[in-house]
Amino acid sequence: MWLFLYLINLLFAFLAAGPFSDLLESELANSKVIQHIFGGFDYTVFMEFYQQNSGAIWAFLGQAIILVFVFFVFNIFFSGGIINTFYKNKEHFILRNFWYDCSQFFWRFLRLTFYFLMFHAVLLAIFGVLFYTIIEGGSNANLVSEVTIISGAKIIFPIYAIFAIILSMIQDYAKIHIVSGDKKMLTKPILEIFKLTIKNFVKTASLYLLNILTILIIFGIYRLLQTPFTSDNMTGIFILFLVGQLFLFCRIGVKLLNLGSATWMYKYIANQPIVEVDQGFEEV
Amino acid sequence: MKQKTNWSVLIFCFLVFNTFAQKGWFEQPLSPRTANYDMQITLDPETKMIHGKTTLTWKNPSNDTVPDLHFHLYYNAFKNTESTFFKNSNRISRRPTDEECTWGWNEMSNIKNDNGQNLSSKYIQPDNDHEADQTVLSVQLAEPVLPNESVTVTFDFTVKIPKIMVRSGYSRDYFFLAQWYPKLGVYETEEMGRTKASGWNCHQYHSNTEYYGEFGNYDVHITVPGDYKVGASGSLQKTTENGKMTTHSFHLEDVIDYTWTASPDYLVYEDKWRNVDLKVMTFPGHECFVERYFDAAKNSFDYFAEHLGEYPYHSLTMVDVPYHGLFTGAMEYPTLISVLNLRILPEGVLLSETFAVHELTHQFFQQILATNEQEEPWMDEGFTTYWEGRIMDEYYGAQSSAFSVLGIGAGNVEYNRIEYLNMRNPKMVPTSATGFDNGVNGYRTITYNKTAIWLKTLEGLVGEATMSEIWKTYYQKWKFKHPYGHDFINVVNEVVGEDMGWFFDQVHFGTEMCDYELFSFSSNEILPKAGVFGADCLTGNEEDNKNNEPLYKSQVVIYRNGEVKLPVEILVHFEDGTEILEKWDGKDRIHYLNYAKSSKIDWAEVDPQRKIHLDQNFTNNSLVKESETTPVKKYFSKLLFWFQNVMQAVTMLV
Repeated sequence: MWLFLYLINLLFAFLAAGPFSDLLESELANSKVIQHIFGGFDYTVFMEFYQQNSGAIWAFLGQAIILVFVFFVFNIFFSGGIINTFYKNKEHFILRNFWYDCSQFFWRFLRLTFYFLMFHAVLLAIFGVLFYTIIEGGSNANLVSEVTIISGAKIIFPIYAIFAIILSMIQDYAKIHIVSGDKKMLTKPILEIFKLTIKNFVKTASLYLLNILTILIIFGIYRLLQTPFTSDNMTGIFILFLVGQLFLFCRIGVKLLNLGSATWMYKYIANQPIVEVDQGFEEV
Repeated sequence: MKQKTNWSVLIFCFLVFNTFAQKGWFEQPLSPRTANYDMQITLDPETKMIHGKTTLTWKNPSNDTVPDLHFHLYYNAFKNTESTFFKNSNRISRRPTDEECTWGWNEMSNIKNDNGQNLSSKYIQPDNDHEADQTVLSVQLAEPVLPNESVTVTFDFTVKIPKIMVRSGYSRDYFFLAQWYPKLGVYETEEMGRTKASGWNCHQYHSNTEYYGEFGNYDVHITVPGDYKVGASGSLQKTTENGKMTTHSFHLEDVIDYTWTASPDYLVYEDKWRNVDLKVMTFPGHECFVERYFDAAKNSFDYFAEHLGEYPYHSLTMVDVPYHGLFTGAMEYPTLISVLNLRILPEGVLLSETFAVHELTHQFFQQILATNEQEEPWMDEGFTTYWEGRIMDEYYGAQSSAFSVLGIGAGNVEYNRIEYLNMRNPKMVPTSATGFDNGVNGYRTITYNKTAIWLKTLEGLVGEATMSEIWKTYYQKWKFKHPYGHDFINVVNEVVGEDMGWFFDQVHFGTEMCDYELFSFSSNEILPKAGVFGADCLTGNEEDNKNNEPLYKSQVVIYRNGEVKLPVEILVHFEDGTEILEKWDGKDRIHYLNYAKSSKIDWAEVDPQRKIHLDQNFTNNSLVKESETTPVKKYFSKLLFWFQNVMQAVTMLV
């Protein structure tokens, strides 16, 4: 499942990045200016490239945005399969069962995602208005110093981040709760999981924090591994590519770890048995 | 009348001698000192008013008999919506809207000559029929001023300071006073100017132009509340406390304008460059920028001392404007410049340095070389942008002097070039257009950036050494005078030794674009002769008909895509390592280079040294035989990784 999710991610990113690469090759590969961008960023080359190809670049960007959206929907689709796999605590990953779970929960998770996007939007709007009020619109006619904007951001942004993280955490538990009870309606489960998560906030938040810490450590390791290499030769480019892919693979792994550990925590706080008998399809 | 005039001259000479014998900075005056001011002013922060008294001595620099004096009253542009400034302005949104009357104005009264006679005055509109515009005042003299004679007038003036409008005004208890006092226009002689007619050059205040001033000395006594810190053009001579008020007396010689600022909140830092007193006046929260301003100023002074001339004044004050006074920032005045930066920007964005270097450069281009900014803005803003690029790239890196953040950077020169080329309509006006003729949206970029780019192109064409000679000659010949565009062009022609009209007609007076493209190259083996030649029929395989080593017929094709025609070099590199540098006058639409050599062409490049900065596309300047895809792979892998992370980030919302 881990490898499968990584390959899907790679495929979509490849489809999004491919046209840009082709354009770069067709426009620059026969010019000596290509050497200017080998060592690092070159403003003149990139801006001229943009100037000459802005139409194509924007078209490709539009296409990339569509791909990101499709990937987003795919991930909603996969969520049911992933969570049920963890929830049922299956020893072996069976692709057929996975697809069944994906399709079974897709529409519910789509609605759930929509609801939580709205919650996120409301949260963002609340903190946005709060920030706007604190910095008086950022207008230089009202503020004595722009330092107020920085101080405001230093206060507001971390608080917002905490609330947004909590909301994301609740969303994860909501998905597990829906899978757990195979609930068709969403409003009640959402309210229930709000209560359950808040009631066990120290436990759930600590686990979530631990997972965030894990991804930060992985990011740190990635940066360390990246440092000794430069991308001014083919070997360097290849090594950096591999390091990057390793990071992505781990990132996806941590996401799975998060869902897996949250499923375990859910069972723990909901007083459910940690190990359940697999009631899905039998292995063929 | 004659006797009276003689007395006036004697009194004037005595005053001038007395004043300069005590306070004179320079052994010889640097400028003609045509308009000399002695001002006593008092700031009332509560009412936002200034009450002042001026003694002005003006020397007629022409062979004309001058009956009147023309004054700029720039603050009257902010008096009401009927001023030329507001009528032609896209800045109308900045007009005061709150209930408190925050309009600004300037009024002269009690105008007298040195005999105590009252002088009449009236507002005039030299540029258009906006009769309500009061930004130019004509004062009728009791007796005309004869050629090379002087006149002294005294007057009171009242200034209502506007809430910050454009470059000047107040905000809270911050006051920035630029173009605030009744300031004489420039009386141009026949040799000067574009019209070749002598007379006052005293334009109304147009929203899209800056200023033009006459050289002179200034003694300014500024009275403000005791807790206010004052920064001003010139050197502080003394401070006198008078109850709750303090008078700061400043002296300055051979300058074209006078500006000052006051606030109780200023933090003042001092440093030195050679004998020049450097000062940064900033506000709490901006202490981190102070050293950056000092470094930029010192670098600029070093650079000018080496490449143009040493800064002649004794002081430079850099006013780092507060956030609430942002519109007073990024301006140049004699020995005082306003700079700005924002704490919300990353350190790699070199705003402090760029503004300090740019505004300081104006001390030379606009102040010492006192060009007419209203009519020929390219001569100060364009020249300054060119020098700003040279200095910034020299001290802060050719690929990082504009900004360098997270591995992405741009140099000042390249940033300015791209800004011009990315304009929606880079052909909208020539750089020679007057300030108020320029379209609002294109004024800045054409004037600043295009001029800088064609100057860089000129440098490429004539060579750095000749360009250096041009600048030094121009500076030596025209410092402390009022050069016009044709004066600079004449210097270029003189130093280069040819009429460069072909260049200026295209890049300065014209609007066309420049683009040379290396379209293609090919190398084909020259085969042995074959066929019927008289009685012989050659197959091509005969030993004596074969070349020992193959010969290749090579051709390079170059296009001129733009309308601008400039001489250009082409470098052709062969596989055996030999190179041929060709010169082409760049006039034809298509140009061929043909070779018969034992080696094939490996690559070819038009303008390999990038002398022609006006070329709008460097990418098409070169071709290589075998395409290089490794850099593409590098960026593909980066882009791929970036998209992967974006996609993974989006899944956080699932």
